[in-house]
This record gives sequence, structure tokens and C-alpha cells, in this order.
Amino acid sequence: MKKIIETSRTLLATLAMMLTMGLSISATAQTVAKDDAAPTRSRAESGETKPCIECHEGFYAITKTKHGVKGDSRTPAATGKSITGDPEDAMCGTCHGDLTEHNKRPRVPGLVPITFGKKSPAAPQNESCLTCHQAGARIHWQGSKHEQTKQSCASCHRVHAPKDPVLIAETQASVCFDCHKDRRAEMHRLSNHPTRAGFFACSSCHASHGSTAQRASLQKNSVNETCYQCHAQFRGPFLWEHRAAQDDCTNCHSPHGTNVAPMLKARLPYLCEQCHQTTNHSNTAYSGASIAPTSTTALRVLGNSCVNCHSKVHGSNHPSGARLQR
Amino acid sequence: MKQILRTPVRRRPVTVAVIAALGALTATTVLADPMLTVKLFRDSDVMFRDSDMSRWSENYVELGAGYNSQNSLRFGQFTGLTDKGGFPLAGFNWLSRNEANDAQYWLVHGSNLGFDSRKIQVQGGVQGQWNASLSFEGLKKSQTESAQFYHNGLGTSNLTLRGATAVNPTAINTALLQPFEIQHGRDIYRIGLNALVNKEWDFKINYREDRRDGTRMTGVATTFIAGRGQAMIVPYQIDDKTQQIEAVLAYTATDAQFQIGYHYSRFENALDKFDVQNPYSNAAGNLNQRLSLAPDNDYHQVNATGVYRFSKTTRLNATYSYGIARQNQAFLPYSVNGTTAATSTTAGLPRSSLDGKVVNTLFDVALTSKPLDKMNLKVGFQYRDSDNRTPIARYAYVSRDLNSATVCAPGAATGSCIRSNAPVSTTEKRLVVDGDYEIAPKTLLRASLDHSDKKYTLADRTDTQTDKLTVELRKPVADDFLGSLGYVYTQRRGSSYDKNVYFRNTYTDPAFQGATGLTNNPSMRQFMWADFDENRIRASGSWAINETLNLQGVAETYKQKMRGPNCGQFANPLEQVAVTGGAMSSSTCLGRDTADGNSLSVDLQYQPEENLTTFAFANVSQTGVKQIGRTWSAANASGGLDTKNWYGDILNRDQTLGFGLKWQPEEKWDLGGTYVFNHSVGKSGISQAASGAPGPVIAASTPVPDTWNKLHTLQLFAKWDYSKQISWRFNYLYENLKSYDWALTDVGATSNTAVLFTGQQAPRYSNHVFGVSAVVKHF
Repeated sequence: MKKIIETSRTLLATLAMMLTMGLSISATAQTVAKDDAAPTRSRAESGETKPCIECHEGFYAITKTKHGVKGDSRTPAATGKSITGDPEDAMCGTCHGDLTEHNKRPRVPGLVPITFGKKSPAAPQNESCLTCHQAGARIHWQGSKHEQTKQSCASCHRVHAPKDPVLIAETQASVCFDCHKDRRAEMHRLSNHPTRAGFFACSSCHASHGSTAQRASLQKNSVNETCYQCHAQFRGPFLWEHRAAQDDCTNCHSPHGTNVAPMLKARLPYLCEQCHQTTNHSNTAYSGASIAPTSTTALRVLGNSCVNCHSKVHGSNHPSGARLQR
Repeated sequence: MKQILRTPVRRRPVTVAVIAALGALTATTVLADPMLTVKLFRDSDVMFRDSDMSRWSENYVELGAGYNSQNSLRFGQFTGLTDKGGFPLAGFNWLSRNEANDAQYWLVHGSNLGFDSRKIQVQGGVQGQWNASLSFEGLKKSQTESAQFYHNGLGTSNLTLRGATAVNPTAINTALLQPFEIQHGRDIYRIGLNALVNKEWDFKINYREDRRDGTRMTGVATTFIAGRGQAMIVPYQIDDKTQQIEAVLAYTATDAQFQIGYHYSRFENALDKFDVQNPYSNAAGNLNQRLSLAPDNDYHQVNATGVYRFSKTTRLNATYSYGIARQNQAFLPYSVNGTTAATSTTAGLPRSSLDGKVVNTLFDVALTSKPLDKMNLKVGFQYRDSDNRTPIARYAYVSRDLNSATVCAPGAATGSCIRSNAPVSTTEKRLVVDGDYEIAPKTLLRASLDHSDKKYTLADRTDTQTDKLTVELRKPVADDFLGSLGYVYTQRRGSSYDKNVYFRNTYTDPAFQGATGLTNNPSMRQFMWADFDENRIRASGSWAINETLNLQGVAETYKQKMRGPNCGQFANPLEQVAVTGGAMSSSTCLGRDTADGNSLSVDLQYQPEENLTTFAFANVSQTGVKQIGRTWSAANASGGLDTKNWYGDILNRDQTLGFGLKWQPEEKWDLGGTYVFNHSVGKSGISQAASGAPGPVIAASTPVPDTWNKLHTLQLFAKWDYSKQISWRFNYLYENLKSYDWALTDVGATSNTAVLFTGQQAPRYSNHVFGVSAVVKHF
């Protein structure tokens, strides 16, 4: 208990430090100069145009992406029309809208019809993307959880980057953690999927653009169908089913990580006893007296606990496996 | 010191060939990233141009070496870096797209090639016309090296005793225990083809095959005789594969999209049984025990989805899905021991295989619209049916291969040795109405109602109804501070319980049945089907304090309270009479009573200079379950079924703290580091009434010790550009795990008379890993 209190204090102190650091930095950072409001030298009257790259050099990595492939007739690079004479600018207007006015008066805010990012409303951004990307994995986008919470495509995707981090298993989680912060912590628990090692991306289970699953935007129609992609050994149908397992794997497991292997929501035997309150030993109060290695009840508590005997907890196909022991 | 045997995990010939071929060119990992773990943060928007995605976007070959300071299966549980000593680092990426910006391209990528867990991918095609891909992913799962066993044949599906049988584990010759590493591997092969037939039609087909081999541990029940060993934990062999095919034909037009797909999945186990000799001597004198292993099975599914856009803001989306899961593997005999009385039942198997079949049907339709300029609306309906058509039959119950069970044939009318399977079917109809309205600029009010009506067959109850109400407000609290507050209320109600259904296929204590006339405790509620009320509140905030500093926080709390109905209130008066003590109140349900949780997460990102980014995060979370139990025994049988006599207060508390930085002090150097600390504590508070006197007085029982674990992870990584073509990468990883688990810690293999444990200890390790590699790029 003392250690917990000490750790809590450490944590609180760190949080306080973080907050203090943030506030003090906030004050100093107000002095950072901004030239957005500076008077602009309009090119509107002269009709002069300027290649987009002169101001937006960093965004030209998009020419190295799939969007920048001119040989694909579907891409912005192939379909767009340049307003500046620079062929590389052709694609900009495809997503951002007509940039003529912006090019004439680049420092006047609000002249880019569609801007991407947190400060812009999601709907116009998404409409721009969905013009081409409404099928495939996005077919369930409308009404999906992310759409309902007003996430824009740019909340997760970086179309100007040479590689989009959210599309790569090793970097995808860092994008999802932006909002799903508790998942980052859960990844450091004792029992986990190999997400932390870069081998099991969030999208292995989740369809972030929406799906027909009851919850959690899963890749398949249900929790169990999603789990069976990798764990088909538990699909059955078994002669003797464990109803909790057949109903929903997450009745017992928490797939983002727990401290009880294998990703169990609680320790055995107590997890089992949340349902099994019948006769014999399944309703016994296993207290501290039960866990001495030499105790007569250790059979049901230590090691794998209930699973020492009832090892077929996901179902048994043995004709005498009714109690999931064989 | 005994040699630790290792699970023989096969290297696939294809894998070996590919690695050998590539090994000549390369060997492993790590650009300016952490080593062996994923990144914890994505780079902030202001620095995304500096985001190091070079591992996937530049052409390079990386070659280097590393050193791991300690042997630990747990440390390398997923990476395969389990052994002390040096290891190669190798990786490569080669993207070819011709200078004319043609749509033709090909890509080869390999990472972590020096480890057992590694990836290789080849992809190519003509963008906009077709592409094909081929990939391999090897993944290791190492569990423990601290387990030891009393059997020969470790790693196979037939274990024989190393020494003589004993009455129980404490009498076993410990000198014959053999240490053995528990681990298995999964190799994943993927082949994909995607073709655009024309502007509207495209077709794709993907094949995936997972092959697993190695070992895991399992418990085996043996005898059931007081004073003798009753169970053991041993390694069993894994050797199976899963094949999956996904084919989709899609039509895409401006106002309509349609796609039809076929999904096939087949699980094939090379092993159907696991034989292990019983280490305990017994009256019957039989040695052999047999477990069934996961049966071969397959799944066919057809999916069709269509979308029609009535207007720019109104869409109708409909999906139909039909799938069949089948399993028909031949049954094993009731017992492998022909001399036991129970085996006379072998002639009576009602069928030679299960012919199990579950038909899953899904129909989902959703209309989304924007009836007002500031309003979005979704109305959805879903029909979901899981029709379990597995034949029902009566099977003899022989609890273990060695038991001298009561002899009874499957055709017998009653008896404790007869079990009938009870395949559960469910049908669910669900209606969802979800809408949001912008009540002020950037201020959004969202509400939804989700009603589900579910029916069951062969379950405790015939139907349940679940309603979920969600209300959420998102509002800018200040110019750069966006906050949200949400509330969710969920409740489930349903039909009365059938007290005699659940354990129809298992066992009922004759004393219990004699006293109550029931086969099940009428107060028991399986929580996944039980009534409950749940309240959940969630708040979040994102504060862009200035252009360099961003603070975000999320807090959530919930509480779920399980309800009746009619716990102990019997529909049948005859049942009522059978129970001493009379009717029970609805608050005396047994099992899970409440579940609650709290979580707080805070993120801070700070970029004081363009070349320096720092971040920190903290998370505190707690989940708990309160449960109620009632020990049934002859001693307290007269107390009435409704009297609960123990409480469980199960709690898990986690604290995670992390911080890090990325710094480019000069053009050629890229430095970074992260540190994460996780501390978890698990509490099991059990309170109990005095023995033999069930009643309201609950006394504290002997406390169960807390379980805990502490994980420290420190990563330091650097990249130095020696020239435009050559970079050097330097990595250091320190990870330290300490844990205590009373189910494992100090539990010896032979310390108990009832079960032969393994001596497996709670994981702990302290590893330092160094890596240096050269990256040759831009070729």
C-alpha cells in the first residue's frame, strides 16, 4: 500500500510538473511572431502566378506518393489542372479546390476552399477525399463511429508524406494513440498481443472506416469472427461449448492487454466464479488460506487454477468432454 | 545444472531459402526509431515533414550487429530475441518507380531479418490497373524457460514417464524433472492480387496461410481420488495451419457502390489428440490419458454490400452476410483404457462425429442523412442470427480415462453419467437512431438510442432486451481548447430464468438436487446474459496552448450493476417449497454483482525549437469487480439457497508514465529517447462468513496477497549521416520487468499432493540490448 501511495505521489508530481511546464511555456510562447496578419502584396491585379512549391516546399513529397503518379489516370496528378503553369501544381486543386484566388493573394486567409487539419471542419475535408475513396474499406464510412465523432481523413492520414504512418504496422499504433490514449498504456501490461513489437496493427482487428460489427468497428461481423481470423482453433462448433466463449471472446479476454495471462479480465478462479456459482468447488471462497503451495485447495487456485483440470475452456470435442476437461 | 530442452520450432524451407538469399545482401533493423518496439507517439503536425518514415520510403540496405545481455524467453517473447549474445541486424527497402512517373512499380521490403520474428514483402504492378503482392511474416511466442516436467517426448503429442509412477507429486523423483522451454511460432504467408477491370469494376483476391508449431502448456485432469495426484501441467504440441481466402468484386460509381465477397477459412490440425502418461499410481493401474485437440473446421461466408446515394447528403447502405461454420472431425473413444469399467460405453457413441454446423446470417441496413443544415441523422436496423444446427445427442460421461465411472449406455434415460449437448442459438434485432446537431458554432450535441432484442434457445433465459442511450456535448471552451462530455446509460432486461437448463450437460451434486429439486443454483446469473444497469461518463479535452505546446486529457468512469430478475423467486411453487428459507430477494443474485472502472490519461507534446520535440504521457486506471458467492455443502445446506456467504472484491490498478524526446542538434545527427514505466497491482479481497454458518455476518478471511508487476523500458536511438549515401544507426534498449504472482512465484513442481505443477515462475528479467548498423541508401 505504501508503495502504491508513493507511486501515486510520483505520478501526481510528474503531472503537476507537466502542467506547470506547459503553462510557463505557454506564456513565453505567446511572443512567437506570426506574420499571417501582415499586409500582403497582392498579385491579383497583375495576374502573376507563383508555383505552389515556392511557399509549400515541404508538401511536395506528395509527388512521391500514389497520389502523385501521373501514369494512373485516377490520381490528382493525372486529373488536375495547373493554374500556375507548373505541372507539379496540377494536383493541388483536385483536393483543395480552386486555388486561383489564393495564388493571387496568398496571405489573405480563407481563400483556400478546402483545408485539411484539425482547425477545419471535417465534412468538407472528407467529401473531398470520398470523391474518389468512397468504395472498398470506406463503404461503411457514413454513420461509422469515426464519422459520427467528426474525425476527418486527415486526422489519421498524411497524404503528403512519402509514406503514410497509419498504413504501416510499425507506426500505425502511434497514430491511433493520439485519441485512444488508454490503449498505449494497456500495451505495456503484462499480457498482450504483439502490437508493441510491431507485429499486430490496430487494423488487424479494427476497421477504422466503419463496419457491420455490433461495436468497436471490427474487421468482421462480430467479435468472435474477428478473433477467429488468427484463432480459428477456437471456432468449433464444439460438441461441448463454453457458452461464455461462444457468446463473445471479450467476456473473459481484454485484447488490448491485461496483467493476467492470457489477456484475462480478472484472475482465476475469481473470473470463473463470476458465473460459476453452483455445486462442488466452483462456488468456494478461495482466500489467502487456499494459496499455500501445500494446501489442499491449491489444485484449483495455483498454476492455471480452474484450467489445471478444465483445460478445454474454449470448448471440447471429446465425447466425454462435457466438463471441458478432455 | 540440467540442460534446458527447447521446443523444436520448425524453420520452413521457404523461409530458410528466402532468408539465406537475402542474408547475402543484408542483415537488420532500425532507422531513427526505437528498437524492437513501436513508436509511442506520432510526430506532431508541426514537424510531420521531419517524420522519419525513411525505412519505408527510401531505398536502402541496412546491415549491422547487436548484443543482448541476458537469456530470457519473456523478454523476447514476440521478437525472438531470447538468447544472450550477438545477433545480426538486417533490413532493406527498395522501391522502383521509373523516372517518367510511369504507373509501373515494384517494392521489396524486409525488416528484422536478424530475428526469429521478421517480415519480408514483395509487391509490384501497374498502379491503376493491377498489383500483386507476396509477403512472409514470422512471429515467435515464447513463454517461459522456468518450467520443468516429468515426461519424455517433450514437444511431441505423446508424453511418456521419465520415472516410476508415484502416489502424488510430492513422492515424485525430482531429479528426473527436465527443464523445457515453452514457445511456439507462427509463420504467415500472404498472396494478393488486385485488378481494376475498368473504371467502375475492380476485383481482388487475397490468400493467407498461418502455420503454427511449437508447444504450449495445458492442464490434464487425471484421477479423482483423495490423497492421490489429480492433475498435472504439461506441454502439448502445436502443429496446425489456417488457410483463408478473401475474394471481392466491387462496382463503384458516383451514386452507387456495390461489392460482393466470398470468405473462406479452414483450420487444419495435424494432431487430433494428445496422449500423456499418468504419473500417479492408481487402483486401475492404467497409465494413459488423452486430451482431444482443436478439431479441423471450416467457414464459408458470402457478403454483399450495396450503397445508394439519393442525394448529396442522403445515403442508404445495406449489407447481407451468410456464413456456415462446420466441424465434423471423428470422435475419440470415451476412454483409451480398455480395462476400465467405463470403457464399456465405447460401443455406445451415438455418432461417429459431430456434424456440427452453425449458420450465421446478418442483414444490416442504415440510412444516413442531413435533414437540416446543422443536423446529421442515422437510422439503422440489424438482424443477426446464429442458428446452431449441431445435432443433439446423449453421450456417456467418463470424467477421465482412468476413472471407474458408473457404467451406463448413452441410450439410458437418466443418470449422472449421461450428458446431452446443448447448442445455443441466438437471434438479435437491433435498431439504432443516432443524430447530432450543431447548436452553436463548433458546438455539437449528439444523442443516440440503441435498442437490441435478443432471443436464445437452450440458454438460461429465452430473451433479453438491451437499451443504450448516449448523449454527448462537444464544445470549444476557449479559442484553442476543445472539450467534450459524454454520458451513456445502458440497461438489459429479459425473461425469467430456467433454473434447470444451464447445467443440463454437466454435473449436479446429488445432495444439491435432492435438497432443492434443481440442477442449478437458482440465484446464479451468467453475467453475459444477466440484467444490468450501467452508467458511463467520459470527458476529454484538447488544449493547443500555443503553437509549440499541446495538452490533451481523457477521463472515463463507469459502473455496472447486475440485476435479477427473480433471483430465487421461483415461477413454479413446487420449487419454492423445495428451498428452505423461502423466496429470495432480487438483490441476492450470485456471481458478478458490480463492475466498475476509472481511467485518466494525459498527453503533453512540446516543441520548444524546430529541431527539438518532447512528449510525456501518464495514465492511471482502475477496474474492479465485486462478486458474491455461496459455498454449497452439506454443512450449510439447511441455510437456504439465498444466503450468500462470501464476497469477492477483485481490483486491478495500473499506472503508466512515459516521456521522450527527438532532437536534431545538427543536420547530420538525429537523436531520440523514450522511457516508460508501468506499475500494476492486482488485488483479490475475499470476505467470508464463519464456517458452516452462512448468514449476514461477513468476516475478513485470510487475505490474498497482491500480485504486481513493474516494467521499465528505456530506449535511446541515434542516426548519424556519414554521407548522403551512408548513415549509421545506434540503438540502446534497457528493459526491466519484475513481477509477483502468487499462482506461480515459489510454487514448486512437486510442492502439492494434488497437482504436478511446473515450477514456472512469475516473469522477471533485466536486459540491455545494443545495436549498431550501417545504412546504405539512395542507390
